Amino acid sequence: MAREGRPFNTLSTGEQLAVVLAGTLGIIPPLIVAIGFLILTVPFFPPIALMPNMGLVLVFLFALYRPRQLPVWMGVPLGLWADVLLGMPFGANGFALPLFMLAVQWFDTHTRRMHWSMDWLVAVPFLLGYKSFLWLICVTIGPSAPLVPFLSQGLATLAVFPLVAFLFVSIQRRFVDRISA
Amino acid sequence: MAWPPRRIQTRRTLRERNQAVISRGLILFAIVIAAMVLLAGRYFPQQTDSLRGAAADVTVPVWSVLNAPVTWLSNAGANISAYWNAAERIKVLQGREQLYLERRVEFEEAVRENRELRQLMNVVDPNRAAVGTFAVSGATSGAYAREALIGGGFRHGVRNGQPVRTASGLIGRTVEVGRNATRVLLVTDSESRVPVRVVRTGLPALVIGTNEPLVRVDLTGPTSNEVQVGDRLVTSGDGGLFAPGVIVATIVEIGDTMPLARPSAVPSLAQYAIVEEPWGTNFEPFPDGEEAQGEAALPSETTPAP
Repeated sequence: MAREGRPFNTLSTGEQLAVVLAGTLGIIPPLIVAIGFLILTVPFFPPIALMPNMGLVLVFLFALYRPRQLPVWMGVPLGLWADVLLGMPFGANGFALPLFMLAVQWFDTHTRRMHWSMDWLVAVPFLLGYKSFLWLICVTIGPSAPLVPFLSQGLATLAVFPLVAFLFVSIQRRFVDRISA
Repeated sequence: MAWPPRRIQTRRTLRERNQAVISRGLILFAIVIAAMVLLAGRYFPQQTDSLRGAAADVTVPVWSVLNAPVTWLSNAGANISAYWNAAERIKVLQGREQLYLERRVEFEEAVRENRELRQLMNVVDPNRAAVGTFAVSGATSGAYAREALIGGGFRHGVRNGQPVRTASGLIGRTVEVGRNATRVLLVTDSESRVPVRVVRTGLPALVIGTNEPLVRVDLTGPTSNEVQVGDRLVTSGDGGLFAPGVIVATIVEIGDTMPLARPSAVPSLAQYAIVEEPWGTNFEPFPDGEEAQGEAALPSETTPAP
């Protein structure tokens, strides 16, 4: 671009505005993950836990495809945000989420997948494993709770994986990566 | 072609290697902080209550706004469906009304007798004072905690540990109070315990939440209580939190260990919830000197045996 390498004060107002806006784009990934967790608090009371954890799928996708946009340390504040929203022991998601991101990134660097749909398959052990690990933390730190609601929510989360992946790609193309067709 | 294309992992320069070391240190530091927060939350849980209350304050306005069109559409649908088969339903309701009118006479007579007997025995009942009626504006996902969010908080007089009910029965009690929103621990939560009595036998029991649709009914106690499918459970007033007589659940299954009951009030069907003062702490204040007089006036044969 023409403005690359030039001092900021030599840019036109429009270019300066573009530079400032480009700097704020980094807030979008954590913001949409936070919104993904917020969706779990929709006033809906199913008999069993069926609200998909969209925030977790987004974290999985960011760790897989855009690890630089959502660094691992960001998992701590986002996890704490999920804890206060969802009534979990404070720090349970905050502790588990960065470990989850590290595990996904480690898996990504050591394996190769032949098709994008394989990501969905890969998500099965990761998301169910995360839910089981979270349950283990919860019953260790807090009062005893059944595992079934955690797993039912994990299955519901897997069911919406393609939808969240579509949203993830759309947001990336439209707002973060600014790829135009 | 392999998917996704393999990222370049090689760090060539010293600066890149240093950045990688710093990054790993930062990650480790963040994880240690999270673990310390987790342990701190275990031993000082009250410190996180204010955070949860603040999170409720953030959540409730969002869903209050987003809920408005959904509620409007839902109500519109219900109004339209009310016209379907209306004549037939009116006939059924008129028949029921006749039956209820007859029963109402019996009920009013029983209430009058009960009031007279209580007056004779100088029974002092606490008031059931309502704090307010608030919209149900959010929920937790239900995996670990079964909680609802209501749109009333500290500013509206809501405090920790107040009973919450709807028109169809008890739904829970307040646990974390924010400025404008409050979390309500539902009776289905695994931490919930509600002292009840069986309407048919009058014997006490305890309703225990399980994080599942049905609640367990603990019948172990000083009495050998037995229940049948269809028995209704109402709050007993024991413990002084929940006022007696509020319907809680109905027995649906006699299990091997504990009977299972279905909660009467479903939060998803209630748009509003009533928060009440804790029952046992809400006695009508005595006029000066009347308390001692009331004690003295108690007939000796009505004094409970030690």
